[in-house]
Amino acid sequence: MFIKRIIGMKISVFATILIVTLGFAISSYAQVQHTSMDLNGYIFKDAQTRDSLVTKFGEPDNYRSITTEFGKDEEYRFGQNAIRLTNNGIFNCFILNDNRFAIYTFAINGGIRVGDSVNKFLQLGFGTLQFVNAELYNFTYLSDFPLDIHHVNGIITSLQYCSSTI
Amino acid sequence: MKKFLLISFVLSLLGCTKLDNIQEEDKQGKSIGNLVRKDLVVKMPNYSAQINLTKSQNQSSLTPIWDSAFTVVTKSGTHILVPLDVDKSLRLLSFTNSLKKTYSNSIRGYLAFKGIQTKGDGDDDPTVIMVGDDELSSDGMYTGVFTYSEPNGDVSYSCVFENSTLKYLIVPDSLQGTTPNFYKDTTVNISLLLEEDEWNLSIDGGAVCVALRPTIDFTLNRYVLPHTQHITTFWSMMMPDHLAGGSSNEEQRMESDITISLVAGPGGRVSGGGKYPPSHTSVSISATPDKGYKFDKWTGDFAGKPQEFSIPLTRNMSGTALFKKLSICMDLINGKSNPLPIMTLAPPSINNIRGALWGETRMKDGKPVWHYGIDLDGEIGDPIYSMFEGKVAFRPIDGQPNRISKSYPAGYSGDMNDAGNRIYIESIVNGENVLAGYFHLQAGNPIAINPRTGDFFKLGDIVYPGDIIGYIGITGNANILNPHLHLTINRGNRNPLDFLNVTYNQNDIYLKTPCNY
Repeated sequence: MFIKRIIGMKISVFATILIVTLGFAISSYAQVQHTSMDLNGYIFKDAQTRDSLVTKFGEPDNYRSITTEFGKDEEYRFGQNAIRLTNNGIFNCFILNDNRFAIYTFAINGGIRVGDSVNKFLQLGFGTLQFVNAELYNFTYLSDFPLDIHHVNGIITSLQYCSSTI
Repeated sequence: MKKFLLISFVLSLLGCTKLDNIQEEDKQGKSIGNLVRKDLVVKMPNYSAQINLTKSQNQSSLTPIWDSAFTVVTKSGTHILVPLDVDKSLRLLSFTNSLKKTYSNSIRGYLAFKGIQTKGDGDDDPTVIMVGDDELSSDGMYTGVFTYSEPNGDVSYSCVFENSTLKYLIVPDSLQGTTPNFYKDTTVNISLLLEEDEWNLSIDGGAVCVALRPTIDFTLNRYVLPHTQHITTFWSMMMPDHLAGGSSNEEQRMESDITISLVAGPGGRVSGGGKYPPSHTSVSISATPDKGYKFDKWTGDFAGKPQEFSIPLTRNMSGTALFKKLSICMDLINGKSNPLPIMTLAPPSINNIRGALWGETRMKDGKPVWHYGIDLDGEIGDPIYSMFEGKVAFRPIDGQPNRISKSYPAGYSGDMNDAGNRIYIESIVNGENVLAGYFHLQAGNPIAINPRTGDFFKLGDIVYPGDIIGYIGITGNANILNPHLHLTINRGNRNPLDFLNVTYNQNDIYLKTPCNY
């Protein structure tokens, strides 16, 4: 009886530890995902190549590149949207003018895209939405690079984001 | 009122008499040395003259002391030219104004105060022209001309020295009239010497030419020559019209228009001048500096006023806005210099001042991001100066338009780098190769004209420190909310602060320079 009680306690302690550990893991996972803005589930980390972009976003409708003292600058156009790389493949900007791509897909179901309500940013549960003017908000979360949210009557018309070392 | 005018009239006669007496001495050559200038020249060598000024409003007494002086009467006030006696070991001891600023040096030679057009002497010091020993004759005498111009540049005065004595004053023909209107109503920049609440000029010898004009706040009361016991009381003609008129100003206001005469010195514009009917009770006046200049101060009736102000319309008034040309603060011996006269950080957000600095100073997704330069605040069109001597490296990029919501205008197919329009200057600074990149230059005309070629700076052009090489803009990833100069050194591998002539204090966006800007 006593032994059974000991075993029972061990199981419950073990279960508790397991639950807590899992909880932390899930929480940490969620936090990692929150801190990085993704584009269609893709987080720009290392230098990109044309292949890596095409694999993820498809063949661009228009592409141009120009070489500067920093290396190659590129612009990929997908319909009304654009992704710019700089300095030989380093992510520079995305500009979304239609609902083809979504951002923060890890953080909110379906992500946020053109045509959604600006309020969806409030549902993220993190970040700061800053009023700039009647047609523009800035959204930032642990970043010096704001996401520009253009809207008309609260409906997103464009999402634009750039990060830079300059 | 009538009584007052009568007293003024009597005093005027007295003043004329006293002055005439002195002029007689002049004509007879008594104690006048070789200083001659019409009937208004007085020289009292080796004696002190005391001039008593009274501030018209609170009656505070001012007593600058000079060695000698003569006066020139104008409609707007009194000009006093002070030729000091000269000996062979001259030294300016000190000059202190009401702000307790003291100018002093121990340079031997002859000095001329030239008014308020300062060049590094500080905001409240007069410009001092120093004549070096090499400009003196073998017996230590100076013969030459000091020339100074009014702020608007169209009138120049020259103090002519012969054998270290002020021989005469040259004024343009257009300004000469019959005595006592020796000058017409002019605003000489030196008048600001009288704008302070109190000041004292203490000189131990020196050839000094000082021109003063009482401003609205002051009227010249007495001119005392102790050694002769001459006391010249200035008469109403010497006072500005509005001071001589006393309380009649209000009556004048009721009947006639009021004229506000404004003049802008070089480097700026003024607004608010004109003729105002009696229905107007006040006027807003402002001075706006051009690019590369900053507002300095008002002279004349608006002395002491800020850059923009409102004033009740009670009488005719005039004033000149003076502007200072901005220049950069350089210490080339120690390899330090600045690209802008006023050095202020332009952080990406007010929450991250360090984000304007070089290094891992920015955050992206919660992780530090490198910033390969320093962001310096400015306004679109502000001139950017080359920090060092060198050559233009690379072909300047000058074709980028401003981005519209992070996008380039339709049809644009040129350079699209975040650096925007840019120019690089390659220099050797204390033996080290330094490649300075100046980014985000303005759209349209980002690159400055090379003053030596008359064309825009181009690859290979020689550049000297202080040359204007471009203009601040918002091309690249700068934007209208935060126009700035991104300065990068050696492609971002060096901290620009190592080459800037500034001191950075944490959490302060203002970078301190050793210069007075």
